Amino acid sequence: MASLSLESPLPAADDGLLDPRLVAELYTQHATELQWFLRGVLRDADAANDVLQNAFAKVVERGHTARKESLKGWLFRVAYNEAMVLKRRQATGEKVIRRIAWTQPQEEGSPDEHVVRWESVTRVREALADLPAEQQKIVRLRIYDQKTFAVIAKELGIPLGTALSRMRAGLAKLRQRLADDEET
Amino acid sequence: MADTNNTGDLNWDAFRYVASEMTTDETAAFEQLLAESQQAREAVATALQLAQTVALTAGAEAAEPLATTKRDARWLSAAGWMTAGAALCLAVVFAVNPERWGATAKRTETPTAPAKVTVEDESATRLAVLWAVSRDQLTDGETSAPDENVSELFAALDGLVHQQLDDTGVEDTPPEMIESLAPSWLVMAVSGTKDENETDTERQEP
Repeated sequence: MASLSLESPLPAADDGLLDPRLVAELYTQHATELQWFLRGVLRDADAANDVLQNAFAKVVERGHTARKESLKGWLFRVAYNEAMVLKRRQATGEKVIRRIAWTQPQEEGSPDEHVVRWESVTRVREALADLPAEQQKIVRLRIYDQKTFAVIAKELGIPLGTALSRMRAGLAKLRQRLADDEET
Repeated sequence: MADTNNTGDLNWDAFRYVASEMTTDETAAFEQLLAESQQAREAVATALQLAQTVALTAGAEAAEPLATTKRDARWLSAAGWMTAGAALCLAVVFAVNPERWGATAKRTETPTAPAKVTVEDESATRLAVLWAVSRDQLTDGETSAPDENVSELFAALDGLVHQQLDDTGVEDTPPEMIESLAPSWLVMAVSGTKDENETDTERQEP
């Protein structure tokens, strides 16, 4: 499979559409991460799936015209534009509902995906347990209990800035710990 | 909003974005950044994936049947092996050879043959199940390191059973040796040896 960084137009099939093999490769490599991104923007797993499909439909139709930037970036940008169109359409005339993105139900995946997901949960749980107590508490209150930082700060009797900085530090440690685990 | 050229700031802003912790102006500015920056888009994906995984750990902890702290595991291990040791002779045969469950238990001796029995004991069956489950929990590498005493106990038991099942066969093992080390029904059940006198045993009076 040719490099996904573009130096020249992508190979098109005879009908002018992007080579199906390349589309399949793009899907395999980027669909999962793209789905996470779209869920983060839309806060709705179903809407994210719809936009994902639309994005790949556009890749098939116009992907062979993409130049200069990496195809991944092009794919994400196309998907983002689709997502924002949908988001603005949903928000028109209505009060925007501020939802937390990770409360959306997890999609059922293949057994392998379940295994990978469970391994990730296990590693995160271990990393969470290793956090300093004050950071761990904030992370749990924010993500487990879904309390806002303002509420957390009030309940713990600490400044809002302190709650935010502890959360930030805790997330950074989790992220680093997981990155280190993947390297070993 | 912090300088999003900094990766740490970008990751933090991405989390605040997916957590709906940004003001309206901050959200608009960040979404403008998402339109332009692939790094920002990937940061959103990573932030959500991490938050989702952390959220899932709550469910994982709620489903944990035993304590996962090393201190509790050690306590359970110590209590468990003592209990297992007390019921060991009865429990092993049922855990290893469940086909023997429900068979009549009688012990017979003849002048020429060592004692041979099969076993039926519902309470022992339940105990064996408990022991088997406890063994799995006690030696489960996910929750605790195997307790040294438990490992020694199991090794001793394994040695005991295999000692009986040497090449000369159970039938040639002196009765007093069987009785001193383990009941013959235990030995036979572990070895899977069929009791050739089973029907006779059932008919015989104790």
